[in-house]
Amino acid sequence: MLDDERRIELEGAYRRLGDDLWRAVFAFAGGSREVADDAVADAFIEAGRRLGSIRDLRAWLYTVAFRRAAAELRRRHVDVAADGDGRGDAVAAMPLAWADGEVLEILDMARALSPKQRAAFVLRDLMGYSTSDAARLLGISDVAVRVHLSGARRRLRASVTEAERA
Amino acid sequence: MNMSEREPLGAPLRQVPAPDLWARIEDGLREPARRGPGGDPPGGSGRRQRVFAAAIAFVVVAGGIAFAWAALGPGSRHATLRPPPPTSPAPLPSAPAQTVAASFKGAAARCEATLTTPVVRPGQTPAVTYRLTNQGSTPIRYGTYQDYIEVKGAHGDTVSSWQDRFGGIIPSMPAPFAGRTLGGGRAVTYQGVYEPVVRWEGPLSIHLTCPFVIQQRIGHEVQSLQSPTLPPLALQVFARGQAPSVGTAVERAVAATQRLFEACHPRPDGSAVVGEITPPKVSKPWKVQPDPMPARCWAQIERHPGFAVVTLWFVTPADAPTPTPSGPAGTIRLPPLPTAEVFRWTFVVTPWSTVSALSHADGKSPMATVGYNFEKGHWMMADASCRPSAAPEFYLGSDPEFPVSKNPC
Repeated sequence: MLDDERRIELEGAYRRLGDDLWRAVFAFAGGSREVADDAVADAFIEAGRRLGSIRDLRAWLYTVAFRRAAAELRRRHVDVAADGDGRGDAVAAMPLAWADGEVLEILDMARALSPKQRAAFVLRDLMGYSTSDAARLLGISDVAVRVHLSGARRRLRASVTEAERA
Repeated sequence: MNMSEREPLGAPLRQVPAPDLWARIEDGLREPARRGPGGDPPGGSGRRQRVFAAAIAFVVVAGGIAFAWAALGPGSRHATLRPPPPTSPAPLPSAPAQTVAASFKGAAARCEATLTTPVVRPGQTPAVTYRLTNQGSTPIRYGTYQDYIEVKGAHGDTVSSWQDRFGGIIPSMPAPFAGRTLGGGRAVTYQGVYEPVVRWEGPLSIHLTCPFVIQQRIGHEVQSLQSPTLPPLALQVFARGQAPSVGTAVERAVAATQRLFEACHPRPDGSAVVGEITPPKVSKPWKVQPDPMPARCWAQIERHPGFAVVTLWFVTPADAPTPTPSGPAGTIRLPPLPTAEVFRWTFVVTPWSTVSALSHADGKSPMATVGYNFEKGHWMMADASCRPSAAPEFYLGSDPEFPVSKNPC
């Protein structure tokens, strides 16, 4: 159990970072509140147990929460076509939680992407982080973020064109 | 780390209300560590950690055997071990979310309020989400307004209202923000603003009005349709375990103020002490550092089954008369002195957590003041008010202010 000082420190971090992290994971999980709740809570619980040894708490929390969410989505994997890197998840088949019109459209867009593309798209294009910050938060290189982002944008452009033709 | 300057595509995403997971995180921290589905967290060093863990486990097991032998072996004074104190709260009973609804008179629109947390622990906040649905086929204009919530006790007595955060002084009503369009058949949601921290025994009921206003153009006039009153929602309070002792409750409340009451530490018996209220240490202080304020401090403690409510008070100057508020969160009458300040801060203390519930500062000073904001568990940043006039000016807020003789502006 945390002592009061650590608990207050962790709660402070949660109050500062929790909402943005939750929204990022929520979008990454295709609008699943359940997956976002579990992933964010797990990340903070794990962080609480290792508070003294984490150097960059924000990056650590994002990395762990995205990994947790990705693992859960893989576990729920239904019938989703494998993406470019051969790993699909359950996002496209999951029912959307409530959302107003604009959010719904964004979540719908993100559903078409592979997990890695979606993570890069959520942090860079939805949450507005720079490429290098997104890389830090995901625990991958800048180059990898650019590759996933480029794939995401290509795929989104294609789906918009298809929708316009239809 | 900065967001990029351009408006991110996901601006609407920021309107999605994020849940408050803190109580769940606290519960999780009390459970034994387990490996999650995502594998090792970053920075984990697999084998070395396992070897280290094995060594720790050996020491713990050996220590446990030695302890058990000392406690239960020949010559021990106790025949049986006493049950250990609880290390985690009992799980919350599950209960479905409650939804109440009402229709606007004069418009094909309906408002729903959903209490997603019908059972809460002391120190938690009930979460209410509102939903406005356009039941017609033509667009409507709507605005969001204040959610006027009251919490009532089992006997119908009001234990908390939306006015609490204003220290009992009712502010002028904010103009509703209008200007958004909701298409036919569409719905929009809104997260409630007022979230009372539960510090009462249940059962409770939440009385609310819908925070939406619908605007209709009739001829050349715009008519606002006021929010319908919604039926009350039932809220259960799940409090188990023994309430912290009075001494522990006061200690933990004082610790949670992050040293504000360190040099004016209230006593558990409720009697006042004279000391100093120290300006909080912040990473970026103002160029003028206030002096500590001489003050008189005391605590009010209520013990309930499973939790305690501690209100810490200070009044400055130290010899000022004791203020008499009109209620637990009511207005405070300031002492008739040119410079005076009264501050109260209420905490809910359970065996497992200390939660800030409400605070009010009410003061006046002819001098400039420097204020500190306690946000999200920390003294986050400082602010200053320039007051060159010699007449006392009043200030009211949720955090204390410190008069400074030198103009900080």
